[in-house]
Amino acid sequence: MKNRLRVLRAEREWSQGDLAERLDVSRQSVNAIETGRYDPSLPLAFRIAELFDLAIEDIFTAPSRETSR
Amino acid sequence: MTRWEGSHTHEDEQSRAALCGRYGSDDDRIRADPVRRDDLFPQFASTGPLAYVAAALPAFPIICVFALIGRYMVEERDEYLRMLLVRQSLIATAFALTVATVWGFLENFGLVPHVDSYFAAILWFAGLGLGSCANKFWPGRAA
Repeated sequence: MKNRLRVLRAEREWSQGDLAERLDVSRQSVNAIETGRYDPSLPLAFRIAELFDLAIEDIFTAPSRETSR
Repeated sequence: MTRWEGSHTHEDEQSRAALCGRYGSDDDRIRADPVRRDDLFPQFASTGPLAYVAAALPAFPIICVFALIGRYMVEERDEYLRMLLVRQSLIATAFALTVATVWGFLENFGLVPHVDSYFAAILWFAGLGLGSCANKFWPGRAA
């Protein structure tokens, strides 16, 4: 699933480790989510959205919207 | 010769081997199955439950490894790492069961020698290695 996680992280000058620490997950998880190799669960997606003070849809691109472009 | 209840005697082995046509002689049988039960406990005279307990003791640390892997799987809070471990374990289980099942049928037809059952655990641990390799090349739920 495409997402803007890397952009949002760069805006705050956070490393993947910093973001992982704030989300209480491993750095590998952050890397996998950023590169689209892993889709987070709903609770984790909500935690990511709350951390950046955005809606989930503003961070993650719904697969249905990806194919329609 | 040491004998305890439920074990196969040398005469049982030979008559069964002769029936199966598997072994031509005792030397052939020893070559095929060098670990003989009655050689393992030459001084062990008990035929009761203690023999079973003593024989099964080496399995205890291996069982603990399985329990610890299961416990780690439950306690891992990171969902991505937990997913990787579960997939790794599933591949290990599939690998071990596949090899054990195929080997069992080959053994039934006398094509391969008998292998002790605990090799299933060894296969499972080897399967963990295969699972780890698979995790490298098989991404999670990719976009």
